[in-house]
Amino acid sequence: MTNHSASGDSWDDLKDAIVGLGERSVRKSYYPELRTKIRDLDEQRIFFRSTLNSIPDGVVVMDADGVIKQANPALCTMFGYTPEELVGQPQTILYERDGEKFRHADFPTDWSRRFLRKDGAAFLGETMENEIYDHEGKLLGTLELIRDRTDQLFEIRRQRQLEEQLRQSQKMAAIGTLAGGIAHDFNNLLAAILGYAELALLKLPPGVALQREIRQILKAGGKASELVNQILAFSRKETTKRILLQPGVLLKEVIKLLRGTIPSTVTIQEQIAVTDRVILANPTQLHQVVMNLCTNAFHAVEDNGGEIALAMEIVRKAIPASQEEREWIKISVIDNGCGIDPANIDRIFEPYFTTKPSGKGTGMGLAVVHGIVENHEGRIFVESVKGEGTTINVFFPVVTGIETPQIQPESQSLVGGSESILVVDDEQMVADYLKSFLEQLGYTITVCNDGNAALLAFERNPQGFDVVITDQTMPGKTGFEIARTMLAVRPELPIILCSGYSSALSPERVTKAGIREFMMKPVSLHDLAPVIRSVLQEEAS
Amino acid sequence: MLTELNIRKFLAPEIIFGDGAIELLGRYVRNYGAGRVFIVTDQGLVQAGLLERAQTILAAAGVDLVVYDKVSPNPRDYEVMEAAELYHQSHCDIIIALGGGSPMDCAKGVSIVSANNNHILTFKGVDNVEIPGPPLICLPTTSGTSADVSQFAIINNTEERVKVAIISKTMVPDLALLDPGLTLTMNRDLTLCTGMDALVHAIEAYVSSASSQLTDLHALEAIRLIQRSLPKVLDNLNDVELREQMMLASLEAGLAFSNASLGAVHAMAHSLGGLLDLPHGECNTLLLDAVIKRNYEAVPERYDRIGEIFGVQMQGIAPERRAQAVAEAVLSFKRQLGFESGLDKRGVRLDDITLLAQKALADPCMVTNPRRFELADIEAIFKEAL
Ligand SMILES: [Fe+2]
Repeated sequence: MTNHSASGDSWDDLKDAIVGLGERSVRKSYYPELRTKIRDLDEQRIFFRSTLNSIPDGVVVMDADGVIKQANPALCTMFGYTPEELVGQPQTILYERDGEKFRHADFPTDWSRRFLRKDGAAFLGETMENEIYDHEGKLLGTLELIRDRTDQLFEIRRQRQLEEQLRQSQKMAAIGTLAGGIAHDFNNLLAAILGYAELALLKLPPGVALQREIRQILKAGGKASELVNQILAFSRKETTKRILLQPGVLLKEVIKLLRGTIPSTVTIQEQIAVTDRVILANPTQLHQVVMNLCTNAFHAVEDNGGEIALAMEIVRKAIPASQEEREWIKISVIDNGCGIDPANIDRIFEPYFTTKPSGKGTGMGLAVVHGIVENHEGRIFVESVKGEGTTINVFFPVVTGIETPQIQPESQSLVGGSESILVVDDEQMVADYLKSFLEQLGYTITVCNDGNAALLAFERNPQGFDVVITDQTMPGKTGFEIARTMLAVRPELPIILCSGYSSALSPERVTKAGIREFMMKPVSLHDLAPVIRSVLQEEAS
Repeated sequence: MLTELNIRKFLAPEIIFGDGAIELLGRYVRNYGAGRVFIVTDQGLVQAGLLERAQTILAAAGVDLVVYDKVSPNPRDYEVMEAAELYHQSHCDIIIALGGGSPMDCAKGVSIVSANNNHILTFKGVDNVEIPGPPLICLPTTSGTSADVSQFAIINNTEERVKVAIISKTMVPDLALLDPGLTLTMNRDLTLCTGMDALVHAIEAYVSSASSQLTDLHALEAIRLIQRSLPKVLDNLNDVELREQMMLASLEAGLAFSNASLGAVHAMAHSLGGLLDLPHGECNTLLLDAVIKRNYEAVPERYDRIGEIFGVQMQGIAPERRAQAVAEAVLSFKRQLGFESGLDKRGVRLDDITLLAQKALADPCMVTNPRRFELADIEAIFKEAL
């Protein structure tokens, strides 16, 4: 027997281990192993669940029978269910129309489907499905990925509307150009008709029976003139110049226009208060505001007939967002038509928003109205009850401290003079009636039919004319060009530029060039006479 | 160190003992929550109809099962790996070993391989099993190996032609279902070999340097039972009561050696078995008396007690003669049973002895031998056993 002292320790350790007393001599139990496996499974489950929960698209998992086993939070939010409410339900609970799939032209995706929320609302979603198999190839169920496409659909529709709007505005611009051209020619003819009618009236001795017929010509001609002005207002580029005006006059004009175009199933009421209050506004834009509002009101009552009321009154109140109490001119457009859906009421001022069928509206109307009113420091409010009607109230601040312009009495007698006037117009008829009319008032008239002839006459004797009245649109030189040439020689020369249709000339540009007056054709003789006097007086002073 | 401080551990599986205990198999499998049962057995048991009996019981319990029945005597490493693969692929979750030491050792191997996902030979040695395996139920059909209660598994490393001992408390089965009726299938040779194996287990545990009062009780009782019943059962192979005595003896020997470990006889028998592929019990029997002679002086009182059980009046023998007396008593017991001694007759040559001794010295069983042997000591024992 030998002493194994050198390896004694390891020998002892081995001996301990063999009889179960070693450091690692543990009674067998499967539990730690199971615990590790359970922990691994838990971690895996948490990982997979967290992964599923973090998917931003809706994910729903069905068993082989189509019963919902799992739904991620994105899906629950999308559909308004809690996970507990969904688990155990058939997958068809999520579908409208039995879950029929279809390709949607607007989406670059394979399939779309109409889905149904818990609250009954339906929405369009993109859908992708896949079958789930276990490791032995047995079908476990299906997985569906759902993406809510409501926003994209809205975006696509908006895009479509934008394109439609662009087409529409291009069409309108073309029509405007066309209408402007026609109106210009028509205006010249109208000027002649009116001019000669006025001339005829002046020549007739008072009390002659023919006067009544001529007055009817003037009246009809006046209406025609208004109509042409409407077309011109439409075709003309917008100006931003604001003047002091009483909206009542403008409103009455709109009503007149409406009455001429709206079918008799729609009645129009007017309640225009008599007032001397004025606002600072661009008449064209104000016209557009009222016209747009009335057009909308008309569309609201169009199908079933009804009533549109246009009202104007002076109110004194504090309006939200300005707070300060002050005077306003309140213009109301009221209809008893279909009303606005409460869901849409916040959106009606958005550009391109429209509930009208294609062809009935551009969706721009109320947006423009809103923009104009805002620019005028005004306010606009909508009240609407679905099925009962809509009231739109527009407030414009009353301007105080500025003297109200005197309204000229209509039957003012015409003031004449003895000055020498150069009349330039390529339309012989217009030139002739101006010559006749002004000569009646005592003036000495020289007529030229184009710019070159006029300049020739002017150069021959620059001091020979006290006033120049010229048409703008002529073959060869324009009225504006003539005016500039003359003003270069005689800066103080009063020039009145008349134009029926001008897209190139702005009043600012005309004024800047030193031209005294700018008059829209057809020029009424009643208007022209005082203008001549006023430019001559200015020059004298 | 703890062993030197006389601290001891006693570990045993849950034990069901008695004729007809196999009928409880279904209940236990259900209680373990088995989804699918993996049965490890061998062809002998299949032919004896015992597998069919187990299958019938499990079918009645409504349990699905998969069978691996290709275990050879002295289970081979590749068999373990093959069975573990089948276990894994068929998604079983509980293992039943039905048979002698070989199916039980193989089942233990399947258990740890499946849990740790490593080759069976990587667990060689003591406490090298990291993760315990799934529940293991042992249904022994022999009375000797005690693999049903032990922490041992002996696997044949076929490449190096050596038997590898895997020792780990994680391999103590969960349930030993001991039904003596199952041992009736053993023939005389097998009954002899396994009975002698049990005797060696008891003797080696009793003289082990890690023995304790708890293991002594079982070891001594096992020696007494075998001394009394083994000769009788060899003449009455169908006597269930005698078979029960032997199974009890084997169980007690197993409880003793599983907690006190073994000694030189097993260390040398493992080496021998690796060389010759002889039955384990036969190897033990060939070496037993030669080892007693060399070990006696380390624990004479214990060997005296063994001698007395074998009918030697030790008081009347001079101390220097006593080792010889005990060895002769054991030798005469062997002769009584009709066992023929002699390694040479089994094919061992003198040239083999050095290699055999080297392997035996490295065997873990050598650790608890009462005497610390050098290579020369072991060579001498082998020579004596020739
Ligand atoms: Fe043994």
